[in-house]
Amino acid sequence: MCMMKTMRGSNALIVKGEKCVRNARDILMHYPGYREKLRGEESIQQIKMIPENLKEIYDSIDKKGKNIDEISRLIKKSPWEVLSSLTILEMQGMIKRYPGNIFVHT
Amino acid sequence: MHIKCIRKDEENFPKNLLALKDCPKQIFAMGNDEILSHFSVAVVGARRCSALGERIAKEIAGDLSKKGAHIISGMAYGIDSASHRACFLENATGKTIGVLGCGIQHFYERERKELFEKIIETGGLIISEYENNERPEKYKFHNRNRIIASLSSGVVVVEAREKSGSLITANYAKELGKNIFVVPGNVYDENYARK
Repeated sequence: MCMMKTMRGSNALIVKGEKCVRNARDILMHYPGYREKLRGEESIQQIKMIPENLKEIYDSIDKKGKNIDEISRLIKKSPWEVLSSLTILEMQGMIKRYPGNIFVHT
Repeated sequence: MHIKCIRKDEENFPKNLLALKDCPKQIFAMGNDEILSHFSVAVVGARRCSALGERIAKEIAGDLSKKGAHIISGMAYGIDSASHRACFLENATGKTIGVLGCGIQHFYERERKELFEKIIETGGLIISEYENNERPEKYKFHNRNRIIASLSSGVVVVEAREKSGSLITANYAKELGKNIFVVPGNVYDENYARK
């Protein structure tokens, strides 16, 4: 057989369908109390990492979502400028785009 | 050496153990027995483990402990020891619980004093269903694995050979409806040869 002797038993458990994990986070995500806490912590970390020039646009979006024109009017920047910033935030996973070009926080 | 005997009918007997079909009539405990009622995760694996496995066990146990989870293991060489030791660091909020396949006093006198003392010193706990001077035997390790599975909210298998004690622990965990988490191992080793 082709795998290290010390790993054969554990790898067989994975093949049988047990949960495969890489780290403590993967484990804690299976426990509701910890899951919410970790998501909250990660969300705070992500928000802290938004560059200053994009924060204004990020903050202008609320729970209900906004479209490009609404954001543009609110922060007094051109729709073109707003769109390029929104694209960057979307690529970073900070916001999500819905049909009709409505943007919400993830 | 202050070893407590906690009988099955006492208030501070771990409730988890009562669900076992063959629940021990009593357990012997030394150290901080308050932590028995808190969230804990078992981390188990091979005695003769690889350096990689040891590193993974230390990292996972350490990170779980930093988040407040207590770490349960069997005080054996290899993965067990690495898991216990990860909880000795200052930023480890969770403590460690060692479950023995022999008497507590026997382990202290004949086995690994340093690990034993460090667990107690750092606010951990050592327990056994066996009388203080009982010697280890194969069936007792088998039995202690069911205690590990029962006390935990989940069992993490880091590195395990086929037909190993760690797989027995995972089996007990499965029967008790606990989560089983497995770290994947290298599929290839240096001796791999294709035919």
